[in-house]
Amino acid sequence: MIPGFIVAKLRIIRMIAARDILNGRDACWLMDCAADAMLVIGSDGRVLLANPAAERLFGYSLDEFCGLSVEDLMPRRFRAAHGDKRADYAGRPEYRRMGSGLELYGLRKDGGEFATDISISPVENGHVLATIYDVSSRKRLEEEQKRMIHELENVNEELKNFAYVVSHDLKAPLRAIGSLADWIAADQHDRLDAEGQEHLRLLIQRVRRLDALIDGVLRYSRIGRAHEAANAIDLNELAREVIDSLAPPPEVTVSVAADLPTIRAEKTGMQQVLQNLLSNAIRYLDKPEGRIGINCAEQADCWQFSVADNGPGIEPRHFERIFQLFQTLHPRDRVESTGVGLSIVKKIVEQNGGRVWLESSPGQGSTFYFTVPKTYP
Amino acid sequence: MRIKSSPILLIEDDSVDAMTVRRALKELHVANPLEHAENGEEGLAYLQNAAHAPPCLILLDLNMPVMNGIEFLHAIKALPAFKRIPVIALTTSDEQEDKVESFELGVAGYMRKPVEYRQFVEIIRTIDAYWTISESPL
Repeated sequence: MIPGFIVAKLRIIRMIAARDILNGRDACWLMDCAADAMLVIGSDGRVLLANPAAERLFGYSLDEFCGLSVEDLMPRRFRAAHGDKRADYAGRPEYRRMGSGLELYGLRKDGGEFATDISISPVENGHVLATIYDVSSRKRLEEEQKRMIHELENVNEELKNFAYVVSHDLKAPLRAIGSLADWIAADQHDRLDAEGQEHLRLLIQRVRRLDALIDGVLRYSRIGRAHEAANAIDLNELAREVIDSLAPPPEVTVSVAADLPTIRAEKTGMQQVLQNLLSNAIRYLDKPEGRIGINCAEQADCWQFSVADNGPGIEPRHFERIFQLFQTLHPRDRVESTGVGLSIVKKIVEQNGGRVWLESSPGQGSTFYFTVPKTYP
Repeated sequence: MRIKSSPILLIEDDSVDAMTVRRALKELHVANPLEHAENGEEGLAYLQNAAHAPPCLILLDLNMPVMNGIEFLHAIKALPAFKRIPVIALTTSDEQEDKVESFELGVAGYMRKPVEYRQFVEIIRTIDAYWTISESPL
């Protein structure tokens, strides 16, 4: 707190400096130069002085201003309450900026309204200097911004639901196609030649594939729709559960590092990430003996997990593509895959505030890494 | 089915899905007659018609026009004469909300329609086996 006499002294120094710098020019000169509208209002509310910027803003001439009261410069709906406010201010005159948190409007001579911020400073004898800022363009921008955010939220919501609704409605006709094809294959078996039977078999297989694709879209779109509470998850336990559920064939060894941490995350999500990475490692193995390893490295602010395999490996040019929805590197007839698994991994990991990437040497194997922040987002 | 004479009421708007149920029941030699209503409202009308034998089991689709499965469940659970008839939801929906709501409204089971007919048959086989062993409130 600066003592009062020092404040007074500083003001005097500033006034002297201002007089010297402005070469004795007075307040009228300042008001004429000001870019913002300024009015001096008398204690009875009459306009005593107006600067050229005020003429431009309100559309009144200087002469016309002098016949007006301050209430004439605001829309009718604010006038009644303003007299009281003016009296209230006269009781406690101080510099004040109006408008923050309030919706203030000015009224032009032509009847047009504009959004405004106003600051008021007491002069002498109950006179008040009011500076009126035209904020209509800022207000318009704010409105526009609000509208766009709202629109974006709607579009986003729609998008989230769209995938779900569409895939849901695709299922029913697909099921009908599947059933009908199945019945034709069964009922007309004797009337179909080998080629016809093969065509039906392919048809049914494609129905299954489309069904799996739709399920993939559903699974993908569900991430982020339904939020689960974050829990403490013992990764040792989770890894064991996932490996058991995948039941790897005997030629595949899955080794899990000792002492995986216990982390805070959504359990279903983490389970899905591990499951998808492991099932990929198992599915694409091309060696007589498969070795898959789950490891973890502690970083400053996150846990970095890895799933390494000795499979076929992936060329670096495919590193981006494989995380995109429906992208596979093998013809679907050779390895039945929807191309959804890694997109789901990426979406879950990123929604939990982590990152996913891979290192790979073609022919030798791949290592997929993902991080989980130590503090749950 | 333990009760062999009463009909099974199928409430289903998709005609191929209805054919699927009919075919599976026939394949499994389930003797109960199958009554088919195309939406919840028709299902209620069937139940409330005194000339119709009350069903021993209701197979209920959820997504239907006019009156959907959840609305039908609300309606039937408010009717003392029908609220004890076991209802099994037979639906495409994998929505958690649908499952929760169905069980809150007292369904006896919630089956997702598989895309493959053979799996469909297995589901119907299981339903038939269960309701052959289980006592019925009717």
